[in-house]
Amino acid sequence: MAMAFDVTVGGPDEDQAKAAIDAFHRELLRADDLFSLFRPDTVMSRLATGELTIAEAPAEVVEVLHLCDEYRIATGGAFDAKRPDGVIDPTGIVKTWAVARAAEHLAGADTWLVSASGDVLAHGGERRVGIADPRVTGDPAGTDVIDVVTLGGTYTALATSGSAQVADHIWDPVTGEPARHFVQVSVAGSDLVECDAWATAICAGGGPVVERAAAAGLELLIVAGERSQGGFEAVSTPGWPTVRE
Amino acid sequence: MRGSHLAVVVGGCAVIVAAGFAAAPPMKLGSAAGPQEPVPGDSHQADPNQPDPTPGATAGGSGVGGGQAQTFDGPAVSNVRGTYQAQITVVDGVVTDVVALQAGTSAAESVAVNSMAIPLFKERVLEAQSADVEAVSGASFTSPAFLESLAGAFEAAGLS
Repeated sequence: MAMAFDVTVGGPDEDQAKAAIDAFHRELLRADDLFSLFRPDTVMSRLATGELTIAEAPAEVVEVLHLCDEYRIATGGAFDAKRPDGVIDPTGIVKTWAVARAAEHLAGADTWLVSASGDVLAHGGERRVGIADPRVTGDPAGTDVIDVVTLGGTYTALATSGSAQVADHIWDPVTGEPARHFVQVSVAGSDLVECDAWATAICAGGGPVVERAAAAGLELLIVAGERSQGGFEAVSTPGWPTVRE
Repeated sequence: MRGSHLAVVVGGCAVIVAAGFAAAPPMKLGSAAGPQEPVPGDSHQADPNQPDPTPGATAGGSGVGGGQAQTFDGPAVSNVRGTYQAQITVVDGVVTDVVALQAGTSAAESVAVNSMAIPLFKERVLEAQSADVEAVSGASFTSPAFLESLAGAFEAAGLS
């Protein structure tokens, strides 16, 4: 797991804010110690080799594996943590799970906004958040955006998936081929992990998963293609919290 | 109070960078077999079929800020999904940009919007425009092969 994250905290004094952000960072590193598949000594790696059984795994790992299973069922199999080689790789939601968990360390602040490698979680007030141009690589901060939404109230979490950064990193579980249903999918809701899982699932499974996600009460913005005359073809659910018309 | 970190924990290293990357140029993706468009500041381009085990370092790019920008290429790492290669730009020991020189086997194909003409959905045409926003939601780079290459680029830059 590697990610850039940006935390903005409002309310307490600077020392408190610094401490909260440090605690946030430590929590992410702790999650990496449990879940990284890049290092052979983590719980997740030892589960993958069969050295550990799920019964011996810490509660956090069991929780994440349960979440993977929950979203696999909810998405009709479009979100599936099992890699083609059979190893369970929960990387798809570990990042947002760790961010949501780490954000509990910010509870003392009046307002906060966490932006972690393209997924955004907000607390307190109304925050304007952009939807990245799918053509932008690297950190999209400061670049032109294709839409602007308001987070706050009902929608506090926003996740986006797509092929902008690394083409073909999501697999279609039905065809076994790289998923190329949509250019980019953004999901707004109140649970960051849920938004993330559905965004990935829609990229992987296409149209049928879109209907499931809408039925699950999530708001969606789906960039379906680039127009030859400029701009993007997109569709959104009626409740998508855009500020642009 | 605003903290911005890039935690690259591949191999147990954590690096803190300054807030925000420079805006990366749009990545050009060739066809499955076609050559990749060279990235400005990159003096060599690895053949997708010939993974380069030696991370290269090339000075390049226009001066960003006061210091000199240096780019470091990670090794080309292949997996079943294609070949991935990361490049980082470093100014005064701070990572200012991460781009994918190679990213998988092919570009995403545009899909006609009418493939999902569900009446519930509102059709929109979106244009990229500047906006005053506090954060941007976009796709993240979490491909293991990309990260492995990224870790190599950090090593080449002496930042790991």
